[in-house]
Amino acid sequence: MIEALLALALASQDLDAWDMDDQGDERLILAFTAYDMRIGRRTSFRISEVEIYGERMPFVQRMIVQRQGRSRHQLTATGCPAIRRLLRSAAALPMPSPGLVRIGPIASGTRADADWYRLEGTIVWPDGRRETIRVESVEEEGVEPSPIAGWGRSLMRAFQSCVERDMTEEEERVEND
Amino acid sequence: MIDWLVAAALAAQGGASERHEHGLPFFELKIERQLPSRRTTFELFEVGEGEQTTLLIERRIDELGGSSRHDVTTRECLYLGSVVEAVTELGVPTLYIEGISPPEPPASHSPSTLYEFRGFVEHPNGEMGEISLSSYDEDRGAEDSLRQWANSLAHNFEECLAEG
Repeated sequence: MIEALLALALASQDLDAWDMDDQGDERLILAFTAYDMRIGRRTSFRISEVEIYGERMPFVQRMIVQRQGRSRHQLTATGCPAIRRLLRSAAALPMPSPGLVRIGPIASGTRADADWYRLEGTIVWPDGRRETIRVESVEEEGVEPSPIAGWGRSLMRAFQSCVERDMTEEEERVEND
Repeated sequence: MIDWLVAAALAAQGGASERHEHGLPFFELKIERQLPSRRTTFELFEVGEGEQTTLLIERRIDELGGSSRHDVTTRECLYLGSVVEAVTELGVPTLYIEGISPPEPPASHSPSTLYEFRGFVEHPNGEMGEISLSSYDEDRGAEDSLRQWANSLAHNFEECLAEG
């Protein structure tokens, strides 16, 4: 577990590199990361808003980093309509209150079969000020997902489905040509 | 947050955390005033063993001209315990999603005091994670829940110190 935590901490540090890429001029709506500790795969999403032919729409980028390599895909809400539905459900996600939870020393031999999720977005306080919020969750295998993990898993499934559909259409187009 | 994970991992290896003799805090609250510059940091720890277990709130003040460090336990100042526990009822707004959430009035940008909270959450499924959120004090509108709780903690801590 110690190794997993250290690996997780080191893996997390690389997340900051995401903001350093060439997408800095877009307005970030949400960022979501899922880290599978068992296989060391990190899936990061960055949901921003772009303007295409005068229409503003959500734009989702996904980056997967794992031992075998990394991949990047990007889709707009036109290419993946499920994104709008997911954003609507994100706006209704209950944000948890802090708890008096102590993360104490971890017993050696503790299993690390868990996923780590991080959601980063914006909240608006009653005076109109917008501030960033980050909520994380470490979830063991077989446990009912928290609202944040559940939402993130829906995002991962929906985006993957859109990517696969795109790839199938592309293959068909190549065959027809 | 990453620092905390590394600290947890290092603490788990058997050595004491170098960050603080009490180990990892339940939360850390920073209240940072701009002019004149002054940063007040509160941290909550659990200290003692068995029936002697109590919560300890430590306050550090760093400002031009010096710094100070005080701590108070909830055994010494009972009502401070209920102020601390009120953090679990802190209302956190839902996410603001551009184009989906109702439009909000634009905020001015003249922050005078920054409030930063870092702590943990227990999700409805019993799993745990970390949370960080912040707010600014701008002399406009009502205090939000974070500022309200933070100011109450600061005020009550000061009262406990004054009572000795």
